[in-house]
Amino acid sequence: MNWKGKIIIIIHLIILSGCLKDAVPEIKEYPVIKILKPTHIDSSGITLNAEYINHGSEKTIAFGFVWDTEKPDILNSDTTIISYQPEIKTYSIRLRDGFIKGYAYKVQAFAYTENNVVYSNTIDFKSLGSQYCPWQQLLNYNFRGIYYSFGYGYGMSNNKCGYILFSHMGDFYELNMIDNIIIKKQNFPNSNRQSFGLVATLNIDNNLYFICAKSKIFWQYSNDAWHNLGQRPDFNFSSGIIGFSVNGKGYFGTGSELYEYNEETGFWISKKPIPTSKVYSSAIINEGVYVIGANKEVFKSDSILDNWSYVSDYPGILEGQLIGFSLKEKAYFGLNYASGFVVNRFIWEYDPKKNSWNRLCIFPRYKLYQSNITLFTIDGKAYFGVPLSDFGSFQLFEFNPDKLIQKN
Amino acid sequence: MNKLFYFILASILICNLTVSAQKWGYIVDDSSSQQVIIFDQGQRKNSLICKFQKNKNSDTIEYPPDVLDEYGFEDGRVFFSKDILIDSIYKKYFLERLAHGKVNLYLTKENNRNRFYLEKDSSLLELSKKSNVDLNSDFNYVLNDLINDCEYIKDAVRLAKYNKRSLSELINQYNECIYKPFPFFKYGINIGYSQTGITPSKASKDTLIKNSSFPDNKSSCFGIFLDYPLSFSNMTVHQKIYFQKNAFSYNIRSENIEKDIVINLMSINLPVLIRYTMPVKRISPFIDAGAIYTFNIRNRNDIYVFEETDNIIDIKIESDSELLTRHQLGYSLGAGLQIKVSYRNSIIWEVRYQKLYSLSIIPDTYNLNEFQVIAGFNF
Repeated sequence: MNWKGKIIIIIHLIILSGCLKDAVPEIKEYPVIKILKPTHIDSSGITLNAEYINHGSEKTIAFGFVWDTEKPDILNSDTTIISYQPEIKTYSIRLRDGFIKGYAYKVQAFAYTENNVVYSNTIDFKSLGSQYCPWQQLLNYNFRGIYYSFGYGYGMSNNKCGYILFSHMGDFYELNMIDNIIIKKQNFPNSNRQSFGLVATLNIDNNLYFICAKSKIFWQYSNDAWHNLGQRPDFNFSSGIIGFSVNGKGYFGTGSELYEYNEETGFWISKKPIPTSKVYSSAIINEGVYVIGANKEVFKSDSILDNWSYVSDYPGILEGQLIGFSLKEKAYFGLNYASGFVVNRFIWEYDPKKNSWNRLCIFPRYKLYQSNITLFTIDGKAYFGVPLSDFGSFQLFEFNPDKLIQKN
Repeated sequence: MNKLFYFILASILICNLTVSAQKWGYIVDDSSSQQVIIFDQGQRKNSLICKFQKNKNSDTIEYPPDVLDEYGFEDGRVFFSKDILIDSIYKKYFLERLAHGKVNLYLTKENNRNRFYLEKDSSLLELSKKSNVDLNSDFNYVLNDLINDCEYIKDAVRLAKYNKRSLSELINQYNECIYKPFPFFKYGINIGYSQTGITPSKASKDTLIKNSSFPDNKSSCFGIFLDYPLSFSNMTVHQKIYFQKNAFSYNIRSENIEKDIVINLMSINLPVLIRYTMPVKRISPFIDAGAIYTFNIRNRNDIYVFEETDNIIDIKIESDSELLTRHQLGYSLGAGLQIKVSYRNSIIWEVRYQKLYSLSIIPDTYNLNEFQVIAGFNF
């Protein structure tokens, strides 16, 4: 036998040996799935990979990936579903939205079967960002002397700057987001080391107005000073409270009651009731007012506020209070209380033109109390502030709707 | 670098000592034989001159092949003065006799080249090295012509190499004319069936590992082997290199937790064995034993943990545990039959037991036991 023949024999033996099957875990009723190392991690996103080691005896109904900054679960974390085909062993998907640059994520593959939900092993990776991510972490701030355990920061904005009012001690800060400057302003005058229960604010012509639960004084902040505007009407805070301004007038609502405040005259007028027993949140789009009421019903009124009509149902969870804001002709609601006072971190985008809802990638911070979230909007962006510790360290996130993936 | 220098220096010194070593021996001339101290000057100089002292205190004497008929060392090497033809000139040289009997074999070294001479019926014939140009000068061809009267050495003549050991062995076998396997370097391929068991190390402390019981894995293996003769005895150094894939899986369940240990190996195995083959003409039994080294080129050790709570199954995979080490050492014992199919080729059947130990300071590892049935063919 010549050398060629010998080499051919050896190659055949190698191929024969390579065909032997690998050992795998014992077949179970549920599938055994394994997440593989993510690939192509760059500033545009990440490719997630998973492998079906065993398909199991039960039929897989849905298969996908779930990820979060802590251990993810499919009810409270970001997910993506992949078309499952029994003959396919390995799955990959390129994700271009929702990953914040510099954040460490945990990702798992998951499968729904007839009787079980299976989570794969967990893989950790550090994100280099994603093409369509509305979230960006800004610098951390340190508000010296602020102790969060005794209160929370309440966010508001006029047309120039954001403001944070801390309920304990009434520390008040102005945030210039363009120049990244924080200026300590005069403290809220009604604090006296007690939580004053700030519940609603609004902005009329760059003047800020404040409603507190524990005081009937109606406060205005303008020209770097606090002004006592006298008594406000009685509100039933257990029915929720909303505050907004439209057409140069301020409005506060609680339950079905709605009050208009005229800045020029200083008078309060009772408006036509909102057709709901409780209000959760509100947003203004093109002078149209949208209010989420009881039973997830969304009502709309024009700027005259004399005619409310039902437009849609809020698709998210509705417990406690929701945050609500509007940017660029769309409204955003979410981050509500969930069980155990843990914030549900989903935010829903409402498009009034299409009367449609779109669930966005989750708010990046994990397990926060809603009372600790500070929100204000300036120049087409929303800013979310959350405490990093109980002692003044404060993290600010920018929410930019321009960076959202356009799904429709 | 320093080590290399000292090694070379030491080698040179040893060589020099060897070359100029003085040994007791004898010289024979026309009239007498006497015991003397002979200088062993190396193969080439020993062929040209016999340098000796009659005793330790006497002067050194140098005799050319014209003066002496024969001299020899006490270790058995004997040199005879013979007329040989080199470059068309007959000249006397001291030729070392390598084999003695019906046919004598002689060796001399000239121009740094060994020259072998066969003496039969008092005529001396040089054995030229194999040449592709002139087949008539092929030493195997010449030998086959000269020593064809012993049927037992026909195969040996074809296998003989143009070197001192091989030709000496051949001529000795011819002179004795009894059957004896002619040792030669063999190589070939192996293919086999392997049944591999995996057992926890005795020092193992982890309950899961200690109590695990894997079913044996059945797989094929293939490779090549080399077989070197050891000093022209019936012993050889048998070296294999073979490739094998093993896969093991073990499952255990308790309450809501299920665990699977999954081990996938792809290994290159290198047993080095000392083999004794019985000198039987056609079917020769053999036994061997030796050490085995295994390199697991693929060594996937995964422990899957399935935790079930309210129909939600959370899978954890521990992939970083080294249940088997990448390098393993052990021993190998085997026996078999070597069936001759031609003067050079054989089919080999063997059974083998091997034990492979993980090389780890961590006690929670596994060892392998292998039982193999192997077929081989040497080219």
